[in-house]
Amino acid sequence: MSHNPPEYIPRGAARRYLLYFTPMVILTLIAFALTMTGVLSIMELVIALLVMAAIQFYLQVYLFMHLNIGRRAYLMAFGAGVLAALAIALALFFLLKV
Amino acid sequence: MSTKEVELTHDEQTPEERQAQSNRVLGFWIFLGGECAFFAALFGTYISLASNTLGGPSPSTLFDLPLTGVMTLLLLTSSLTMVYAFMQMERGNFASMKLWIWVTALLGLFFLEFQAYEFTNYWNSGLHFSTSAFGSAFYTLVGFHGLHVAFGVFWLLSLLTFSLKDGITPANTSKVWIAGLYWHFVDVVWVVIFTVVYLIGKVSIH
Repeated sequence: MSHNPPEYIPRGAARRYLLYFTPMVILTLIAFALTMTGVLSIMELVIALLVMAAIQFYLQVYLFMHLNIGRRAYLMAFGAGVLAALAIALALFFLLKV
Repeated sequence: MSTKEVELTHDEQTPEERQAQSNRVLGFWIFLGGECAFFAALFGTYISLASNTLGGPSPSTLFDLPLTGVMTLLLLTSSLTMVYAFMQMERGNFASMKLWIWVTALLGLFFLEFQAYEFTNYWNSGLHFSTSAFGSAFYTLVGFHGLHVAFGVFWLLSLLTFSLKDGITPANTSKVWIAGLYWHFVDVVWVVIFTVVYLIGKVSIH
């Protein structure tokens, strides 16, 4: 089995990529509208924005960057980076806040 | 197809060449993991310091959300055009691949132009790098992302230039693939910046 990167893209994928792209745009517009209209409380809004950002992150990394069908080592390498990133961001936040 | 462009047939590659390409991609995923840690340090600093405005402009009074909304849509669209470039490369349609890379680079340039306009507006509104901790953290985080976009544009244009000289061959398609990974990663970081810095910043009470 080859792991040659370009082989990951299946034929007839143009419509599928458009389908992945559409929710990203819709989520961006919803996030924008929620922020501008102020229909949610600040806490509700922050949670909603973070959830929508997480969905967009997933769509970009898994589907556009093809992490879902690449080598498992790709996922582990990037996943380790993301976990380290979360730890660093939280540590800095608490250190600087205190 | 030009004479310099070689039809992509993976059968032409030896197992060693395929393994080498796969390892290059793995190395780049490790690099992207490191980039996550780098941006996390900037995010953590920004979130902690965003409320320290020292009487200067605050995120809620300063940010122009319609402008950054347009910038977000530009980068999201550039992700789609980049993946279309991959698709055309996989099909051996190099003329179309180059067109999509051109479109991606152009969208990146538009993004940078909007960012320069945005920074100029904020600077004129009184938010300088040394105005407050918020100013320093904001320009550092968003500025570093802008530098990444600028480097990505340069990388894509370099690929186009080299493809004119040597063509795209099965041996060097991973260069396009890796440049694309970088571009998508920069888009991902912007999605987080748009959410954490701009949207949440706009509604935060400072």
